Amino acid sequence: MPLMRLDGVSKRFGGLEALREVSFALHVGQIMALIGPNGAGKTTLFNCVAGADRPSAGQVFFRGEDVTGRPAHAMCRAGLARTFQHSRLFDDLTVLENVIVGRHCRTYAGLAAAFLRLPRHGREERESREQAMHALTRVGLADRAQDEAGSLPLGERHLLEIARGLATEPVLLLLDEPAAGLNDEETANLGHCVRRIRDDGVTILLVEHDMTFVMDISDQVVVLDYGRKIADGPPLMIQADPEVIRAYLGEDLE
Amino acid sequence: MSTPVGFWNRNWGFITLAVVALAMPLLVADAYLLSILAFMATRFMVVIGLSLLLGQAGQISLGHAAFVAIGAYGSALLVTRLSMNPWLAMVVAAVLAAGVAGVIGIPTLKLKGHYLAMATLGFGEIVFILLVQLKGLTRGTDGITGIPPLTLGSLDFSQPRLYHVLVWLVALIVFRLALNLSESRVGRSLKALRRSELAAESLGVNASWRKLQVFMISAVFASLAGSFDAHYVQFISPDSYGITFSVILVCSVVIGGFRSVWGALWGTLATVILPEVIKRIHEDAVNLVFGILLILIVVLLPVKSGPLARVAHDVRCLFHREERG
Amino acid sequence: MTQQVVNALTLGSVIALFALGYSMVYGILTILNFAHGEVFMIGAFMGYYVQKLFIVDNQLTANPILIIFLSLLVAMVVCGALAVTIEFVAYRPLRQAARLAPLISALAMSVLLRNIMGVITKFRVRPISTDLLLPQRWAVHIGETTIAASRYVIIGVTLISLVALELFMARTKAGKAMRACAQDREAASFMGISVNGIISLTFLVGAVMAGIGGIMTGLYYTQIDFSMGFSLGMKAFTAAVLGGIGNLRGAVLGSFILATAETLGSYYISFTYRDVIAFAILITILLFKPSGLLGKPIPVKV
Repeated sequence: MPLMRLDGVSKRFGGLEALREVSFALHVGQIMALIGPNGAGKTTLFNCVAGADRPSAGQVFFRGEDVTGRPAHAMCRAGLARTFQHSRLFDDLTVLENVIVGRHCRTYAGLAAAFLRLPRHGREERESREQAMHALTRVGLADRAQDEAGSLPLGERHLLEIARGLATEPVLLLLDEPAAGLNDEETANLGHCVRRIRDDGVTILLVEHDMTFVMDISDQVVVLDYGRKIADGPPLMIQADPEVIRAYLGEDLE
Repeated sequence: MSTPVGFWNRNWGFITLAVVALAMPLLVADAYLLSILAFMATRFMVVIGLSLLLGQAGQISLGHAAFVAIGAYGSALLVTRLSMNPWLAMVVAAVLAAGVAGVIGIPTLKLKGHYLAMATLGFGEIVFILLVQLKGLTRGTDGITGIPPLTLGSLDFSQPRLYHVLVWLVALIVFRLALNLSESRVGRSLKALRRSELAAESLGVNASWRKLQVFMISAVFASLAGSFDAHYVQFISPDSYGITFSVILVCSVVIGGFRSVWGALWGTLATVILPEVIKRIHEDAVNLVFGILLILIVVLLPVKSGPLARVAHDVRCLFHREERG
Repeated sequence: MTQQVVNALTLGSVIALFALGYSMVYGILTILNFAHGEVFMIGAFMGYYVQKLFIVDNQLTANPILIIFLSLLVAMVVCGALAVTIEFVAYRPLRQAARLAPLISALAMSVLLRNIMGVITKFRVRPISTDLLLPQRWAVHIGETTIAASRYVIIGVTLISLVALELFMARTKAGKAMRACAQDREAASFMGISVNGIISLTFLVGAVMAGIGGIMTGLYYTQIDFSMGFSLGMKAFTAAVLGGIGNLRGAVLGSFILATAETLGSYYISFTYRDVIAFAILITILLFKPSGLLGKPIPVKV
């Protein structure tokens, strides 16, 4: 059974059709890449899957359940985490605090516990800190824990977003352009990081424009163009696909 | 972490405040000054709630005077018309305020920025108009007189010193609860929510529910304050609960600095002490000065250094939400 | 019935002159100019002061048309200057901050101006001598209804102002520049338009309209006070939102719809609650269609 399955997902914004009957399946342990020219609908697809938006038509299945239209916070609880294209870090909080927020969906202390400082609250807080540090270690940012998030260079910002997502204990991690703006060294570092995360048991779905990175790291690639899926297969097959080449006409597909 | 020294380090501010506030009746003889301090306590309660809403959760409310009015009129009517026990009436009014906040909060908290501001403004105005027009119930602009003071056994809380202790005790409890909240998991979710609702939702924060919770909590605090005021002054009228009051409340939060709930204390001090000083100079200039003060603060935001810059930075951070990036 | 129609048209006219300013400023800066209500109120007071000069012993000392004309002129100039100053002092420094900061600044400005005028007028209501300026004998009779001179003067002046505005926006270079800036400020600046100048101009034009509206309101209600800017301002804002904030035609449309609703409501349902009607409409629109009748849907950027 696939971990996630999209079935005829469409999304319309007024008159604009951003997604048209997109269907594909993602299996546990895969690293899948979603590529396509600008405006192809990749972030829209992420939003529909992650709950930031709901599809106009079609269904999304996650871990066997129909999760179409479920809100983002419920998807998080169900085991799906995502990062954002223009990183939405909490800049004036520390790196560690950013990641601790990620523990929110796995902890339970509510208003009463907060108001009255019940022992359960203190216990959860300690556990959250530990788990957050653990997530930071997985991406290699443990030594930056007390720094202000806004002070991080771009490469580390992306890693912090990933750490925050990891803190939610996801089974599926959606990465929206994790390599955007990174130099070769940072991209290679990212690649190692992503592979380590997959080896730890987290399935990855990423959107990227950096073709070298995509072809190098993915097991499977889905190509969108004008909201339609035009190709779906292993990287080598995609690179040779004439439709894909046509969609990217003018782009360097090395 | 549970050593006495550790405890003091974490709580010295609160303890100091508690000691000073509760000791005031022993140090102050002037009855007028004592009543000012008592008003500070109830104003403090409202501003604390608003600070949680605006400062922690980032939701603006320009109609909060309405919740204070619900507390005041709720208590007044339940006690004078239905002869209800004042303490029970206070609780009932607070529940009512929470209910109203829940009902109007569900649709309006979906709005953002100035739309939310206008909707809460509209709500505040509607409540004000109802207070004035529903003469059969509220006696309109004549107001309600003869509200009995609070009593507990043999304690008569119309006595200034006694009242001061009572009202500050409650205010301190409210403050402590708010501090606990802001430094908790829930508080963290609010801070995240304020900075980026989208990111917070993706990390499991149910934004709509949290915003509603804080809105209702702030309504309860406001209502309690209104009830206490009603029993102390023993007279209420709609004039005290108009848009100007709502704006002063927001001023209090902004002036005090809303990075932390402590800002509520400074803001309350500023907006209670300052008018008293101005009143001695020129009776009518109070609101005028507030206006100038607020403009100065908000416009001096581009200031780059010094204590004013921190306030400016905080305000900027509040308003830099999804709009950027 | 005709009386109600006339009242609705008159009220709608007054609100329209007021609402245009909100829409214009929102269209170009995406901020709500809370202080606009006070500009409007000060316009009305300019009329009062001018008229006072020409009234001795309850008699006019000059041609009423002249007096009204002078009132309008003074109001337009003063309001225009005031609005441009407000923009410079309270909004321009906050251009880089996101939208709520100017809102708080605007609120503060509004409280400030309202209280300055309150102190100056000692918080008392001031009368406008409509019966002297537009005497009963100038009223027009249609069938059984009497249309007071103030009514048709207001409607007439508003019509002229709206047409003038339309021509200005559509035909003049400045007007087109304003529309360009409202659509895309950055692109407009790339094309050599002085955006700061156009923003000031926008505030100016909106305030001139408000000044005219203030004079007209004084004639309509025969009395003015320092808080009229707030109460009418909420209605004007509601009208602007109803029509689609940022859309000028929408502002006018919304004004007349709101005026009709209020006139009919106050006549058939209840007079005392007529203000509640406006606020109820406001909240309803904000909840169900914040983009208004003629506005574009608010884009959701993720």
